[in-house]
Amino acid sequence: MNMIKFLLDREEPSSEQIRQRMDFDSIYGGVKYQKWIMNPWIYVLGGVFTALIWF
Amino acid sequence: MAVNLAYHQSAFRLDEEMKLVERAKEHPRYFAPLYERYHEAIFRYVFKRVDEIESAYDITSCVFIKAMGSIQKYENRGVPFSSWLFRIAKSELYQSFRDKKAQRTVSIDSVTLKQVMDDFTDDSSEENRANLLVALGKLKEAQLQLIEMRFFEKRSFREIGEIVGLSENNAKVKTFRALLKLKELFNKKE
Repeated sequence: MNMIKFLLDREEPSSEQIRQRMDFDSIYGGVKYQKWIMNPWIYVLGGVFTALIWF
Repeated sequence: MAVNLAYHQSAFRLDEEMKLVERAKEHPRYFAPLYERYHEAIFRYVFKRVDEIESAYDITSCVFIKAMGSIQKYENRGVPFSSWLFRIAKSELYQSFRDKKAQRTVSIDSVTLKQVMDDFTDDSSEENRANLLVALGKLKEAQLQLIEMRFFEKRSFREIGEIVGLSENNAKVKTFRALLKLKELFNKKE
């Protein structure tokens, strides 16, 4: 692991700043994208369409 | 020592939370109330351990994406749902340190540092403050985590135990040993 850094009296963002930056919709979007990318069918269908275009 | 009581919940609140968890298992969209309840606590936990705020936002996002993706595997063990989130946050943090995407950081306020130092010495000079930071840096990671959670974040032993996967008593014993080790390292340096 890296060396440890010590930060004294560090200013933390306010609750409002955190809320604005981390809205649920962006996280939910990330989950949907992850589910989509992990779905094997998109690769199967992608392969089928590619084959159709080529032949 | 006064501890942060926000973590401890009544049986009624735990039941209510479990209902939210069961609902979130039906569809990730229903995770929103749990997210609203805990995202700030998780962010602050991560923020205190990394040097850059952007890394803290990224890691916190990963924690919730992972939590929402694996909520089906969540089992109720009678502890607050947040302890599961904290464990995911801990694992995401260490993954970031291993990948060198974030720098391991300990954020302390000078008042708390002085309180810890008062246990070791009457002399709270700049030199002793520096010595204490050197001693903290020499602790094993597991011991540093316990000191960090107990003394810098004022968490109860029960909460610490639930985050690191120990019983309350075991967390108490290990934290006490970590404090003794810190004292030993501090005195050696002195």
